[in-house]
Amino acid sequence: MEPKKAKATLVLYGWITALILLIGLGVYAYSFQTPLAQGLITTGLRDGFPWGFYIQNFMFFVGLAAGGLVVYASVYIFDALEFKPLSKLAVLQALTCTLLAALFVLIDLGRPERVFWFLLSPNFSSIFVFDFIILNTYLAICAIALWLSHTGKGSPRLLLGMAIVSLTAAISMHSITAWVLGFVRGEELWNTALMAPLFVSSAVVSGLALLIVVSLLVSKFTGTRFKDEIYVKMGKLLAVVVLVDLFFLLAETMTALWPGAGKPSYVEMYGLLLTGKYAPLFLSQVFLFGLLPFALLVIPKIRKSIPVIALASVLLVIGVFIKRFILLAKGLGISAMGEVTSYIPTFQEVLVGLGLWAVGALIMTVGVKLLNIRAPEV
Amino acid sequence: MKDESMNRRDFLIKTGMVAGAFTLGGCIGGMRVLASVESNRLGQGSTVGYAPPPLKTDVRFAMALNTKVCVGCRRCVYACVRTNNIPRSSNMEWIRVQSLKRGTISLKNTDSLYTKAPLPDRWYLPVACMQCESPPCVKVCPVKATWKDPDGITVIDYNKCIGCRYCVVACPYGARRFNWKKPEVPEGELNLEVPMRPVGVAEKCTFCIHRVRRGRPPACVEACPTAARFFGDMNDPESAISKLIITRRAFRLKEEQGADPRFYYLG
Ligand code: SF4
Repeated sequence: MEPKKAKATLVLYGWITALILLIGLGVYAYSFQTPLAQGLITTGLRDGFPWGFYIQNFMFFVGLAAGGLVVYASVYIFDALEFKPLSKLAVLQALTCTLLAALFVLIDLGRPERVFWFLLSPNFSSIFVFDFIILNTYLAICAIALWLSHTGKGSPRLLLGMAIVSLTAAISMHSITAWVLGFVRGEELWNTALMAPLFVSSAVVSGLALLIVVSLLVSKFTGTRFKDEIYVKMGKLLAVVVLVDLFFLLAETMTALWPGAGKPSYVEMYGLLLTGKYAPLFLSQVFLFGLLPFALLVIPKIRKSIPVIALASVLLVIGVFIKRFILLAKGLGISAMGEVTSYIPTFQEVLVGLGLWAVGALIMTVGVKLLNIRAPEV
Repeated sequence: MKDESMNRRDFLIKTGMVAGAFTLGGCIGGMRVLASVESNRLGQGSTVGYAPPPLKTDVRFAMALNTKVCVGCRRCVYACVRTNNIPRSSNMEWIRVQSLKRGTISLKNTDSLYTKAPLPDRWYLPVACMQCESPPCVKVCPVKATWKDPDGITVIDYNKCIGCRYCVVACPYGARRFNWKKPEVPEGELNLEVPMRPVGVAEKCTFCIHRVRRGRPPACVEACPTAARFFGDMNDPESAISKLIITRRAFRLKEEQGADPRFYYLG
């Protein structure tokens, strides 16, 4: 028992040291892009493609914050008691991801030191302001939910109320974030009513998938084990949301590609997606990171195997990450004046992003330790 | 070097302001005071510090461009760069001349980086900020760092812009530029009437606010060798520009976007 424990401690401290190193590297990389140093010229962004890796991550983490909450809320709203052991972890994940989303917006600003104007002169005709508000509200809600599930306080009525409020907030947050793009009238591929539903569906896919991965990691490193039925159930749920997500994609693709149906801008962009420069990303997202994991989750013989569910989940998380980039490219890939633009993140940008991911991993690790999150003894 | 230390002081002051703002966040009374000071200084409809106040509030500046005679020589671009202290090598000119295929007004496959003009099978469409009546950039700016002044010019407060680039994304004409790096202009070529922008903020054509509010035409209008450009007050029915818009076949770009631009092209 003893040497095993010592080894576990060693692994933990090694992991934390690695994360802190990554964070340090990220801060160092970030220092180059501040207004005091070189400015955002260090990124791959330019006027033709003004939002990139950071905003992609922002949208991605807003999405990841969802799945957790769906699990948490369904425990109380639908009496899905089998998910209860996961609810604390789920809320912790939601909290961390929301925090990361907020940080990714902050580091994207050209003048981050002026961010206080959000408080002092908010412009309520900008949906961005509402995103700022809902992000902060959601953070607060997650914190309360985490406290409640940690202390075990709260009457059933209160917990039900909390679940309803947090689910509403989650859906609002995803819709509003989708509308930051969707309300841009000049970008035809963003300015569609499908934007918010599509965003919610992808969000739940990625969030659920991440929760599966994270909880498997937690059980591995705490030496406990969540029941297999939980994963089979979650795998089933995941398959349903993936199907919805794929359906939305199909709906959009059909509108773009049916002969004579697609507006010129759709046809042109889908050309880039299917055979042009975005084809490797788009096609792999659809097949390798979309249809393949869906198949893994529904084929009867294998869908109950935990490694298969884990693999499908990892693929789906990667898929949604790619999808967020494709979403940006759909709008920005062709400039307002009809020119095909290009963007590749620089090393500096990626390092900053990795640093923030490490922040998230660190919060999760410390959170799991402090809140003593583990599978219940069987 | 002097510039550097200025910058650092500037930064320290601003960091202090952020810290201050957060402290005040707890104290609602203090917030109110700050907010009211702010709205007096920078509310919509007030004027920016770097330009003269509007001459009259009942003017509505507009521009017209005769596409029949534009040869795509980019003299307007160069004049604009010089008068507005636009960095010489950053590819952020406020005016972009699009070269289009003859026979179409489709923006697909336009080219703004052409090196030879005029070509017989192309026609030229200079594009800059349209000073829209209903500007999408103003609507999306989260912090009211950009607004329309009373004479219709859309301005940006370079000391307030947080550099989120939402306006760059939202402009249907691609007219907004961002200072990805610190802008530099060769010594001796600096126009003291126009402020240098700091790194990390948005900027765009101002209809030469420093000139037109002192009664001079915009630099591009003056520089055009074929006299393709016209500038004036749309509220005055006797002005040349009002008459041109009425008598010529005037059109505006992307009217379906509903931004109601005040930049007319004459066919
Ligand atoms: S970049 Fe500046 S002016 Fe443009 S929307 Fe953001 S804060 Fe407003």
